[in-house]
Amino acid sequence: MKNIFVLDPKLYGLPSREEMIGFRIWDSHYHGFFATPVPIKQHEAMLHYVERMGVERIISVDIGGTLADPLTVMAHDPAQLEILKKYQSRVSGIIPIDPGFPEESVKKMDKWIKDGPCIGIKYVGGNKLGVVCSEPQNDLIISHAKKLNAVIYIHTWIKVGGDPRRPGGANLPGESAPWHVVELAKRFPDVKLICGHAGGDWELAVRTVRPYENIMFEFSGADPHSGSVDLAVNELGADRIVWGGHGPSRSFSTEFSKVLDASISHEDRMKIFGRNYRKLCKAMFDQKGWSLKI
Amino acid sequence: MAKINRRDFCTAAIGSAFVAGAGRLSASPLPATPDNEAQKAPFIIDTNVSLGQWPFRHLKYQGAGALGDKLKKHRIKQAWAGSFDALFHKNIDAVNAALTKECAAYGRNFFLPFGTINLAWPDWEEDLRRCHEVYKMKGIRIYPSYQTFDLTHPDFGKFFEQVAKRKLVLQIVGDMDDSRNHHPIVLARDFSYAPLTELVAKTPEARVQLLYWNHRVSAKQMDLFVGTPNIVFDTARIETAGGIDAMLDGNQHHKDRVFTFGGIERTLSEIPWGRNSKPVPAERILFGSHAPYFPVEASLFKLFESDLTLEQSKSIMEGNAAGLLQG
Amino acid sequence: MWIDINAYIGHWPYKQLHDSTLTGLIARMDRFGIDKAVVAHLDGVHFKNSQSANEALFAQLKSEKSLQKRIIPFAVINPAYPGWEADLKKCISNGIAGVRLYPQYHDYLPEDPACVALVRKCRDANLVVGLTTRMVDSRQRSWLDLPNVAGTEIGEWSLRQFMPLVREVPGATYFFLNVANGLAVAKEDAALLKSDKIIFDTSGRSLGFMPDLVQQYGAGKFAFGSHSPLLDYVTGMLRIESLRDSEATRAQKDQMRSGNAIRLLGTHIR
Repeated sequence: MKNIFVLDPKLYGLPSREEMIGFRIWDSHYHGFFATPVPIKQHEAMLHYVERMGVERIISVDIGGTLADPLTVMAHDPAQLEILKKYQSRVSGIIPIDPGFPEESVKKMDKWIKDGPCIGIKYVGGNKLGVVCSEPQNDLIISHAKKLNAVIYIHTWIKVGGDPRRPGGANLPGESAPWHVVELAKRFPDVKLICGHAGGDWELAVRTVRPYENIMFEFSGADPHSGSVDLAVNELGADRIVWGGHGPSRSFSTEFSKVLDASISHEDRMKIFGRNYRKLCKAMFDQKGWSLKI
Repeated sequence: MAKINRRDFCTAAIGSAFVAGAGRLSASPLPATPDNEAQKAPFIIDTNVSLGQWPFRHLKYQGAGALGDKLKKHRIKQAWAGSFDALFHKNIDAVNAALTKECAAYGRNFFLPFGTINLAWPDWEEDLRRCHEVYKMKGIRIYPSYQTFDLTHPDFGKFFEQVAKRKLVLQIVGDMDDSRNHHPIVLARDFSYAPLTELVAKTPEARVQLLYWNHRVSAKQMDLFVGTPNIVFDTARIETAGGIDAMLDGNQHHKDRVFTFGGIERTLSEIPWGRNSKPVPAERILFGSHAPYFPVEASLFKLFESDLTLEQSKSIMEGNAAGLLQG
Repeated sequence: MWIDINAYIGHWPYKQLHDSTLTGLIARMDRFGIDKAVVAHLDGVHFKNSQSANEALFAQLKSEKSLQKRIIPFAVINPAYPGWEADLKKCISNGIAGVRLYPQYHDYLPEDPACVALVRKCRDANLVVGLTTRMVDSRQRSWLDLPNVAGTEIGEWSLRQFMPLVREVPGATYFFLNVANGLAVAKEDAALLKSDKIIFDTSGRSLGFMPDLVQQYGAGKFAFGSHSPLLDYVTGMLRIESLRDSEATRAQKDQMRSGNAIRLLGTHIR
């Protein structure tokens, strides 16, 4: 197959587009609808790059409401619903929830997941009441997600700051850190939780979550650091890592490079780029009657 | 607006069922044989790499041997190297001497050492002289956010003039990393590139490149810089999907890009997340990877993620850097 | 016989160090007639993941088997770093004789529970705990180094800051390294310092007048340490060698040259 690029990526030590397609890339952190007054238009523009870079499926993390107001119905909600139905073979969605309002979050899960096309939930990076994911009111949400077989993605960061400056000292109210995910994971050892953005600080986050096999790890949304995926694979194993693109605020290239930089096997790249996530949502796809080849 | 060939649009990339044979999305020339494709493919000059020791973590491709071998695997023929030590050391001349030695030891002029000057330290003019006359450097790289001076320092104008007079390239590093995951001990300082506009106007022979500039150049500032031709930019931290496309387009919607998704033909005519309102000419963008801190693949893939013409690719990969060096 | 209980390899972020590899260290040891050295990897002080620095030390040691008889490895462990227990286990399996702790750089207090737990594990595993009061003279520090500057409100540390830890785990073996800002501790802690499992290396500024110190604390309290390559290699030696016969007997000097180190490092010395 001829490349769509004017130059052959293989001459530059990069995979060709066909090889990228062969990785069966699932973007578990697609922000096409995020942070814009024109979410549908932005999403439509993003599709060019999704297609160009050979991404097989995008999983939008901004379905229903916004990250700032997860429980507020927005004008573009119906259009998102339509997109999810029409392009089910390429586009999936998870919904932001607010652990400060567990009952309302559960209602939203019923609307969009049980009775709708979405496949999971997202914990956002901060919320109005400052509730991190380890606090007890999360149990209602996680128990319900378990019942629905929903994917659970938790935004985590370890932002350096405060006085004295220390890792996590600048986290926003309600913005979970990997150690909060650990607390939650201990209470739900049979539920898989995705620790998002590699905790922002992968060196600290990898070791924080390492002993908890039910915690998966996702790298998007932070600068690409050479060697980061190597450490994660060595400490956690390739089976616990999923891939996210974070576009349009991040470049697909940035997120690809984290995996391509790692000295790992093709098989491990396949797992990270998509296979692990497919396994994670297989039960959800089955119950919705959608075919899915792992 | 350049309309592109619609005959070969790719089909939807649905898993293994994707139809091999997807075509080109960009206005590319006729298919080339593998041999002549390799011949026409430009090599790359990487304008932003570092040697020396990063204090806060082990780097996978640390040092000239490991980094040089890695870069060569990616068709990079030359790399402009600063030293991580330049950010933290007081004896700047020792850093510059060690950098020169390490570059030379790797051989074949692959690494061009870019020394540093710290205006906050005494005798910086002598350090500059040594960089130019003793170490035969082609450029100077400064790190104001770490080196305790900024572009309003009383000596900055003098320094700027002297660098230009010596026909050296001046690289000014905005950041090394996202401030949210700095080591707690590091409190990098704020600074602004804004004084450059006036300085460059006064010193038209100056050649200035901004590295990892993106957090410190607002859309408004970029519009000003677009009108200042001898300021150029590296690619290391050009983020957003199709980030180079967005820079090249500005908000002018220069190019329609036709593609299919879900079996429907679509046109991308505007990149809604573009920051700058004026288009940045391709001649102003130079490949710079920030390796070994960042994977070199990050900047490399951006050249493919954005829908560049062959001419634009050649400029960014090699031509612009070669031109900057020649003056 | 001479044993340096306070040596490093690796990089210090703020200045160029020469020959800061194991090979460089051995050459320096040979030049000054030092038989063995207790070595940690400097990179571990600033790395978030100190273990990668420890592993670099182990890798160098493994690649040069001839060095193994002369180098006594210590690990840099950060008990504020998640997974330190696993790191410690790995280091023990790599044959460390002790750990060095840097609470100021790793942002915890010696009495924090994780640090106490770490030191208890060291005590139980017969590992020495190295505590460094300062890495550099703060008056010459880099603008990016610790904010603890002598003479300011948040001055440098002294032994006093470490005493709560010694109180918590009095049975552990401690090397106090590069001691500055005096040897004085609170009255109630003075007895703890007398433990024969606590020694001071001779590199620190507070060990400037050894005759008095030997008289006051006894020769069993001190051991040669260089804090090299951050400090020069000979100051710590001269503080022992310059003692007149009337100030220290040959046997006492031998204790300080290596005897005390051997006593506390025990079977870790090959």
